[in-house]
Amino acid sequence: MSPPRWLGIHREFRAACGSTNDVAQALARVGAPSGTVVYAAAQTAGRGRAGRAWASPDGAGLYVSMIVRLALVPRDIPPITLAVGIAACDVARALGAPCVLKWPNDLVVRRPDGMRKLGGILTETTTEGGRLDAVVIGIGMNLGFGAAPPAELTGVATSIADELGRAGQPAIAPDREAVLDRLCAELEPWLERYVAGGVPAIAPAWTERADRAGRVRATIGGATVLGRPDGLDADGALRVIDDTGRVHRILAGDVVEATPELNLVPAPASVTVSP
Amino acid sequence: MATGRKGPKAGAKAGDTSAKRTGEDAGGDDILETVRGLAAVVSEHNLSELIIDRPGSTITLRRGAPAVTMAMPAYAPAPMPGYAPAPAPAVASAAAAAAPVDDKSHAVTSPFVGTFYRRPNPDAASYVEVNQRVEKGQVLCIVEAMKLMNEIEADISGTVIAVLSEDGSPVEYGQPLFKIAPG
Repeated sequence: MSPPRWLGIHREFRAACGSTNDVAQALARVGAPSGTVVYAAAQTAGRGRAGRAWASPDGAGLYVSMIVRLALVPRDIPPITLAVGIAACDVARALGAPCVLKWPNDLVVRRPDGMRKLGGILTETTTEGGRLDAVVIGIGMNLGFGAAPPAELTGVATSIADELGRAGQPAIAPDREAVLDRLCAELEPWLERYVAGGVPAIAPAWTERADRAGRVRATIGGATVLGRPDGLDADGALRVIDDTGRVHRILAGDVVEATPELNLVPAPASVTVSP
Repeated sequence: MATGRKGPKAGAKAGDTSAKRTGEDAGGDDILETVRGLAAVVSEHNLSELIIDRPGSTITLRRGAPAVTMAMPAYAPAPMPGYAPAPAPAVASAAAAAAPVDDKSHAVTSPFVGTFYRRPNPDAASYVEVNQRVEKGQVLCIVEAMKLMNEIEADISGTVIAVLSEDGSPVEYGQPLFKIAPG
């Protein structure tokens, strides 16, 4: 793995900030170069999708946002999340966690009683009349919660240290800077592959790392699909096969793991989730 | 060849079929009659979209969406970027066909297929409301796909005269989301 040429060359560290994505967006607006990386020891207002909180306790994780300016039209931006997932998954695996990807943006570890969240990706951008400015790629990865993991994460989240411990190794969180170095080195070539070749250039690698053990329930615009995930379509949409064998394509909305109660919700006869 | 798509689509309401056409001359009354007939089929079978694709012409009727378009590739000009369909329900009519662009308003469209959010999070107020003045560069909404949150900014200053999609509903590439009266 060669060192990155542009990603992470410029770095800004914050002991604490609201959200690294907000800091990065502000830097992007004043012209920060592509590849600038903002990372923090703690976020006081870490975000998940749709304003949901992303727990970011001090020192427990890597909280990083990357400013990238890519030769893409707005239409081609969403699958960047998938390229980022590939790189982040490989970093987690190299660190010792049996990480898999859950569409579109979660890094998870599968346990017999369900998934544990190891990390996530929240990509944000701004367009004005079809003009695209910088893309801000936010990545959170739990490195180790220490002696007192936050109660709200019990049974929901895991960390690299936890996974090392379960594998019989010392449950020590890896060094944040070292993880960031590796992430930049892994991600840069995947971004370049995506820009050069689109979804077909990354879909096989994504699908290879994807969780297929579970069932998912996808919801969009009030419509629901229940089934098992079956990799990516050519445009990055998640393929979900329902119990009748019908394939649905999910491009937006929520995808959650289906629990026994959710399994009781029948999939409608016909659901249009994307054209 | 005709393809119909049946299924729930947020925002689709009975009687919400509107019709518009683009192109210089779509063929006069015969075409209007055809569209009327097709609109009846859409309504009768509760289709969300009907596409008639024939050599030389394509007719798309979409229920719940702001417009029905008819394109005549042989001599139709490219769709106008500022084309702003009226949101008011209207079955195909001579009046609608005669005035495909009946105002000077500007449409802000979706950059990709995704989910439309009017608010930064479920507990927050909407970014903008109808009749609100907005400045160029002001955030109007978010369109999300694959957890990419895309803030869409106004590309002109003016007054929001229509919000064309519902919070949390799916939107298509190029679908008009807002109408802004410049000024």
